[in-house]
Amino acid sequence: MMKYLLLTACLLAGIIACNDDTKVCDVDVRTPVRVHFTDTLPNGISKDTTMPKVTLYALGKDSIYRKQTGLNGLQFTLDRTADSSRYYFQTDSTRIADTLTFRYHRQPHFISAGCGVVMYFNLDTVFSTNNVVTGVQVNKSQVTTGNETHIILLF
Amino acid sequence: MKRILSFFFSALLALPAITRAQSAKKDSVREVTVAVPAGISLGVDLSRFAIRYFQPYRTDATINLDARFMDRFYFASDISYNNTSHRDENYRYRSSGMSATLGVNYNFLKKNVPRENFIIYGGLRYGLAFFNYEIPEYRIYSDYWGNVRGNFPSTSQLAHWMEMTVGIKVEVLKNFYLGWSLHERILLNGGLAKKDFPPLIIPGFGKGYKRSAFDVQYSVSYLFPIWKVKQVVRL
Repeated sequence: MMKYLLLTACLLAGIIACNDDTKVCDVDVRTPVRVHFTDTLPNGISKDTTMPKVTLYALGKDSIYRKQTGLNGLQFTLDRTADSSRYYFQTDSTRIADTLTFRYHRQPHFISAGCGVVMYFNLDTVFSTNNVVTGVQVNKSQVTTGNETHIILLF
Repeated sequence: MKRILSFFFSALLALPAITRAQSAKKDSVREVTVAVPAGISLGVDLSRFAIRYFQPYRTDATINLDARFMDRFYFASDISYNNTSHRDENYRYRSSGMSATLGVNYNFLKKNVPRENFIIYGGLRYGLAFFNYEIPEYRIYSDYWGNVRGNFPSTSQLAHWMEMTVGIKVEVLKNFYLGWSLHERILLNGGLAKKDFPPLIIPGFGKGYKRSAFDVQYSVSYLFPIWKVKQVVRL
């Protein structure tokens, strides 16, 4: 019995070794920037916060978020065709909008035989006008397929 | 062919019984040394042709060489060729190259009769591949920003690895052998697999974007008996 099991295991191992990886894309190919909202209280303590009606779009492009309620962060893609991106960002329709600016290096990366190439970004500088946003912190400068928070916006 | 297959599988299934019998007789048998024919064995790995069925973008060929130089030791070498050409909506890929491995196999079986020609072996090898590869075009899709096109230019690359193997080899006709073997390979220059554009296939190794590769070979080979080696035989 053991002999047959071993033989079967060997044959299965052989077939697995031969599988066609170009046919399967089983990893997340999105590389979005993840932004988190943080409110700084008068006593200096920071806490997570949500914004009432968020609007976000890249300048000259369509909306990514349009008056979306109850968001505590953002997730959006940077421009793959240029080394900087600028975004119109409004936390509430009654408040003045800010402009978020991202400057970065792009790095194409072959992610798998089935998925092909994705674009990684390495953030150099991120800044904002200070109408509502009071500060920008870069939490992680490498933007890849990982699930990390890259930017913390302070209010 | 039927006879060859039945011989092969019979030999495979009989192995545990043979090894048990050997250990039982350990204290009661007499050992003598005789000179038996040995030489260079030249073979072809048939599984490389089967790979094309599972991975149509690959064309592979592997020649197996081994030479018995002591009772239970063999020099062993594989010479491989690979050509890879893949195209889909995400990217195009081309590569070609050669590789060679060199090492030693050790026969675990003690012989009961001088011309009992089958072995179960384990081995260790060093492999070296030289190849070039390129991605003439890739595309990154984005509904929001638009699609991006790019390429990765033709690059020459060396890869080297250590390889552990176990296998079986059986003489089915005079000097004519069939055998299969399992191979586990570990890339020594593992940084190659972590590059932004790693190779899809490393000749003789396998998938180039992984640091280790498992492989199965099924080979047919012919022994050219050129010299003799002294073999311990249990009577």
